[in-house]
Amino acid sequence: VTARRAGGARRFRLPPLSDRVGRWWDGQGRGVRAAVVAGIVLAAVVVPLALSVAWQSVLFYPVAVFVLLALGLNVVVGQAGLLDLGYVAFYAVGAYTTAKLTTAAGWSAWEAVVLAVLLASLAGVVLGAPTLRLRGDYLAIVTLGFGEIARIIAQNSESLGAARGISGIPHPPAVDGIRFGLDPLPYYYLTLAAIVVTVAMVLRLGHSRVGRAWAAIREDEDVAEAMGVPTFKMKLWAFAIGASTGGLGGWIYASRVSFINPDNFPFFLSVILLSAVVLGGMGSIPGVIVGAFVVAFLPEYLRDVSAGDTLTRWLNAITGGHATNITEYRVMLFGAALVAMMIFRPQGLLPSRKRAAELAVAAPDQALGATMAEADAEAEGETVVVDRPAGLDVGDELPATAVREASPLPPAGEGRPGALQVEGLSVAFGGVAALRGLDLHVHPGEILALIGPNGAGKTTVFNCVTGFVRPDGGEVRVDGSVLTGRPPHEVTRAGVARTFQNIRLFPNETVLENAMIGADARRRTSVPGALLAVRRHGREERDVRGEARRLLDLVGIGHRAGDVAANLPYGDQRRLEIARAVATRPRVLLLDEPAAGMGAGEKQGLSALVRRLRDDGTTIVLIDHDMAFVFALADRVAVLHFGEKIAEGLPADVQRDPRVVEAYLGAPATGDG
Amino acid sequence: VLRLINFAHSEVFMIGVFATVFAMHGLGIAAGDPPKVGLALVVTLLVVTAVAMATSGLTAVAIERVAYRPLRRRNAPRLAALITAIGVSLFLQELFAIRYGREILGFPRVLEKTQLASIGGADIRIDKVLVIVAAVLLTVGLDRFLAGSRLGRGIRATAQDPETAALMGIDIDRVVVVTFLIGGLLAGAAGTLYGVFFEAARFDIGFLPGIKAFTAAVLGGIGNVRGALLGGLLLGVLENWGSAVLGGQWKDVFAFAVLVLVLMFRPTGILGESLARARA
Repeated sequence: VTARRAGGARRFRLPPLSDRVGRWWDGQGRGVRAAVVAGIVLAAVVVPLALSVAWQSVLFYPVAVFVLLALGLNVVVGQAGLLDLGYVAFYAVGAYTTAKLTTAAGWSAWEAVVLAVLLASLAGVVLGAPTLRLRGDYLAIVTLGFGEIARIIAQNSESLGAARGISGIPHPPAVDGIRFGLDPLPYYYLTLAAIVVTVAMVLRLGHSRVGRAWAAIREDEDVAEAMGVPTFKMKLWAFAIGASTGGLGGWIYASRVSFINPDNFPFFLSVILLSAVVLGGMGSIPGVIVGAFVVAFLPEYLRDVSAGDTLTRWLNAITGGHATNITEYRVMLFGAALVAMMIFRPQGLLPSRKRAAELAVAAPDQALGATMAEADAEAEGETVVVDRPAGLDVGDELPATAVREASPLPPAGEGRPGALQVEGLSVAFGGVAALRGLDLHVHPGEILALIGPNGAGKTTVFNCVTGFVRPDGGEVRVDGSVLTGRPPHEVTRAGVARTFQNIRLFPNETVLENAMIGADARRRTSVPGALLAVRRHGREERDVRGEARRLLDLVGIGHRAGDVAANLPYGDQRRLEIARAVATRPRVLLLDEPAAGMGAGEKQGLSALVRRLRDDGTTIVLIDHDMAFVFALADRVAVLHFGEKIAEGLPADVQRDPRVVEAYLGAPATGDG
Repeated sequence: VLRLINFAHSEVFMIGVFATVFAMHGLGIAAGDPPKVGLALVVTLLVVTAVAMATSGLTAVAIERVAYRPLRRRNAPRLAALITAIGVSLFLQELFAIRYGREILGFPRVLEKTQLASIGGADIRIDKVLVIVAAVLLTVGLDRFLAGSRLGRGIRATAQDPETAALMGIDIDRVVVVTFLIGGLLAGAAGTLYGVFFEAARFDIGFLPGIKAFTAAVLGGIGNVRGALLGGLLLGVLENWGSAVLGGQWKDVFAFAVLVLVLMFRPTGILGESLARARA
């Protein structure tokens, strides 16, 4: 099936222009980049001065406001991968808060801004809390529903002016001689400042553990949980941050136009903003800015020039419509553009190159790198470390002592291996008992192998321990603290990490980022902390990066740190998965068939690595079907059969146990998956 | 069935309503004509329904061809399909808005709304009876089709695991087209019923019924035909009860609230099959 899919998938390549722009950008030093950014900002400041008031007005609304809103929406859709169709509701909350505070409570606009933004982000949390547990498309339709509810409430609440809206919203008082009146320019500059601040914030978050957490959620939410990412909380943050940007936009809009009503916040505004994000390129900040600019500016421009009239007549002829100007076609064309973009250029005009690959092909978790773009390797501008790692390498039969000397690894989990206790664990899937009252005691600092025929319940044990499956009965403890019933990310933070039977990396992130997401599990920087770049944040970023690199070196893939994970060969993907799990600094590490598909040489390297991890202070539980590998490596072996433990003990004893032999139908040494 | 929310379904329905109007015009029925009776009525209704179903069905298939198939071929992620669906929906809506104006399009009355009986203050009108009977008939038909026929089996298999289904020799493309066709046919029939009942058409009429249909499907259990009927019935009752208590302007809020609550607490719906996948 995989082969068929790989063959069917179109090879993905960025068209030349944007690719060239991107490459040029990557090739430039800091100075040039800064100059380009400064030039763009300067142009944004100077150019409007030369325009007529009417055009200045257009530049403020819709252009600048749309750019601001699209940036906020991009956090939600582009970075966290959550499709929000009710985004306009946050914009409305900001505008209505401002209107209400300034007209009814007599606040000045400057005083209202804080509350407008806060209430909008609060709305984001209130809206997100019940809905963010839902899967993508359900989320989309529910947010759409909420957007409509917000509008209907505004429409029907007398205190919000019902359908009439709120009028007489005062302009902000003058600051330093800059008067905010009917002249659009001051508002434009205000919005521009807001845009610059937002971009700075979004960039900073994107390069922090918050951004990595969002990327992880986007790519594989389950695995993100397993790596200690509190997915729900991070999604809520994305919503709140996006919403606060919307609220800010609403505040600016309300204080400029001084009159708002429910019709200012229609559903299609959400869709227009979505088109801006999609058109420009989801997750790409320059792309989103360009996209919003196009979406906002083009219809206004075409309305003004004769080419627009020609186009309108032409469209009228096709559709049989009677539109008098191009803006009537706006929404229809955006609709068509959304479809066309998704079909022909899902990555957008100025794509975020990482997301480009993601959108071209839904990376299945077993992606083996066959279909991914090679072009992505240099995407991150990350200098690839090419020196060979000091750690062990494939096929090198390094004696354990040699590995030991090269030790760059910080003591795992405070250097104290954990004791894992499983008691009376029972799980049934729809009447089929997968585990029946299983007891399993793993001693600190040992390697316990869990073996048994297919369907014996081995992986289910892992799923129960890590919180993916809620057992029907029984308890799991690590060093005495109960894990049962806690969500996977808490289990990980409590010191239990795992790998997956079928490799589940974040395929479109780089190798280094994959490892860093694991290493983030132990960090404490909060979202506001990352935003404000508190000192601890900077230190932790350096620590995480260093630690991730050391671990990659340890497992022998340090030289591929800059590659996209999906491009790694199979064995390296397995090793990356182990590195990622180890990066969470577990006291107990669960390895689900780590040797599957590996050659003999690779298996030897793996054995050395596992022993090494044990010696560094990690308790290891291992599932595998390769008996030679298991019996050579494990300190003790437990055998599962139909959800029950039929044997446990030293490898040599277990091998002789008649029940084990029977379970394997007399073929104890050669079972394979 | 395909684990894909077709936002454009609302527009397929909207097109069904429009097709109904035009079919009536095509039969030479003008707005002021007296309602039909007897055989003429039955024939008119059947013809109009057939036209609406065919139009909607073809539209749905065309949408699948143009918008979804390229994505499916590429195995594009769900987000891409969703955005496409929204794009199609918007495009069709605006196309009709521009072509036929943004005003309400009046319907000729073909069916005299005779009061048949009155039970406990509730009016039993002939058009209401028609709608209910048609809904039940179509549900039973669809249920039979999915459960009994070869194609129905293919559809169910594809819904559960497209790859395995493909390996078993099922032509996925064909199954998907058929699914869209069925959806379109039903939407067309619904369009006629809507038209006969409300006697109005506008470019954006698809939106609310679309959301409510989705709510009904979720309420009853996604992927369960009987559940959808039950969910629709229940939602209607809840909605009218809600607007009686809170006032008519909150009626639509009610549908959304039901949707959110169901998804939160019982994502499998009332008669839900094994679709716990709704949970993230």
